[in-house]
Amino acid sequence: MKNVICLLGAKEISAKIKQGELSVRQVLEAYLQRAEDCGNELNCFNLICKDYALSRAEEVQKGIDDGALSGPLAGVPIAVKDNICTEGIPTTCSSRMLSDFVPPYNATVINKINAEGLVVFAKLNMDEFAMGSTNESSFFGEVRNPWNLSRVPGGSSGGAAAAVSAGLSPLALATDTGGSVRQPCSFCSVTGLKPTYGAVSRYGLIAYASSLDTIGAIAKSADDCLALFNIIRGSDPKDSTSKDASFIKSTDIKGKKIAVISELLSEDINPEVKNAVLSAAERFRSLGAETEFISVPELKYSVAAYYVLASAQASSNLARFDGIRCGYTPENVETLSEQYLKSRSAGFGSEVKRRILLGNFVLSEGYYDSYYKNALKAQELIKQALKKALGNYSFILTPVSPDTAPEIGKMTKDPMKMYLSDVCTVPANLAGLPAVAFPCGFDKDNMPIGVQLIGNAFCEEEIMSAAEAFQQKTKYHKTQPPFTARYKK
Amino acid sequence: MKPDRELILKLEGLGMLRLSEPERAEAEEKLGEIISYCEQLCALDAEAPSVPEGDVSVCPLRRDMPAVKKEPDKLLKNAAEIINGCFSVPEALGEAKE
Repeated sequence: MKNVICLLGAKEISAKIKQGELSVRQVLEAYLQRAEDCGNELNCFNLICKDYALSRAEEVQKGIDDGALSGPLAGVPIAVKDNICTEGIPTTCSSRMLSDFVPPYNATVINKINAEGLVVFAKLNMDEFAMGSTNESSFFGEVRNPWNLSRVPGGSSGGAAAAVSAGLSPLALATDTGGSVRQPCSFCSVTGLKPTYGAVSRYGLIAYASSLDTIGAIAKSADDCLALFNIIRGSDPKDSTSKDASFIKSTDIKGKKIAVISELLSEDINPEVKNAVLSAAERFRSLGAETEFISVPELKYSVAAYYVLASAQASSNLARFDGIRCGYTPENVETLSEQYLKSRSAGFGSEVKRRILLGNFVLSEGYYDSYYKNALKAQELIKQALKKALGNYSFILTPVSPDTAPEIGKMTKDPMKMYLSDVCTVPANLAGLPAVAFPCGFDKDNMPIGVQLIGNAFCEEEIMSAAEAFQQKTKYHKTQPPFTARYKK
Repeated sequence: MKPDRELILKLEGLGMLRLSEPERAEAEEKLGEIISYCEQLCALDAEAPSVPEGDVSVCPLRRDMPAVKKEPDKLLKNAAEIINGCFSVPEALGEAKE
């Protein structure tokens, strides 16, 4: 029974709880048991907060029984990426620097999901400070892909995508700065939404690149993903960049025009990925949409612009970590400067240090105009180009990643190659647009392939409805990884 | 562009980091590849439209040259004083840019 519970969708679980078929505790215990049985093999959790979750389950059950909690996801367990602050529960960013940090407050998104009766039961492994595309930069070790344990799950929300894919959590809250929700969803065959910049409050998110960071949702299906997004969306006085906006256009896919960007289906893309994405376009045509190829040459600057801007902001955001209040505190230091140097040098991993160095380089005198200022110009060009495209089309369709999940260790030797693999996801972040990644096929090694739909700002419901229409006609999102079958008892 | 040892040491200082020798050697190589790739942005020096006002500050965010204090006496004179147990409000020096 317990393993059957772990195969249900999030809304389905909530409905069964409300109908009295399952209790909140019963569902939570099923996930806690599954996490205990097979969580270590994937290394997707940094922490399971069992006692806290069991106590929350009692509260939530009472709220459901009293009728106070009646939302679509009431009673559903949820795991949270470890860069989102949870009051009284350690939040480490998978870094030695924050390995003993316990936030004294909740992020706004945590308050919102608590108010709707979701039960936080775990913190998820991730790339250190969300910097990485393979989940190998975590201080707590790499996460493994449930579709093949020798492959990476993607990053930086690799723990979140692996957990949802393997049935270790029905839902996950994760963050996306350059593709960190979408790319691991593509590698693990689950659905992930990166909202419009400003649609969800960032209060309580440990910042990486503040002008690009967003908090998104991961679930098996687009329907569950949208339900979670509808809970966390909305303005927040604690985040001045957040706002209430809802531009719901027609959610019917019939008659919609979809642009396929030819530059993102070039010879650099794995042919199997290209074929799967073109088949997805064909599927949308069969659902009544029109598809056309368009060219957006400005995208050639996207990876360079993203890494300049994100690293610049990261070098500034991470300047606050010095080991004084939390994290690694060195011994036998004589001066404050020495303390800072030793703490930061030992507290940060190599990928984080590399981005701090790059950020300081592009912001320093002599290089600022050539790199940082030109990156802002490139961002503006990309924004204008995508805005123009979305004036003529409802959605833009692209692959999520040029390739399927690589072997563990392959990318860490070549960071430039890892950065280039973000080519399909960073444009949506640079333009602040919403994008959804969902499964659309498998390669010859049975590794998942994902497709991405980008929409107009604040049109999340429109892109999620398109993804849902696709999922109603396909079964990719319902296919279980081989890992799940091993644990069916 | 490949950053030399001197530049890496300067960036370490700006980032409040101290790299080991192998880390420095790796930084020279890997950072060099990344910086070379980002050099394509230099093509935008002439051809790109200007960025909307307010998006770009007028000077580098990270000053790596020490600020020269031209009038130390005037600045010191303006330091907050304790009067009747309260700090006095310092006078504003200079004019805010429009």
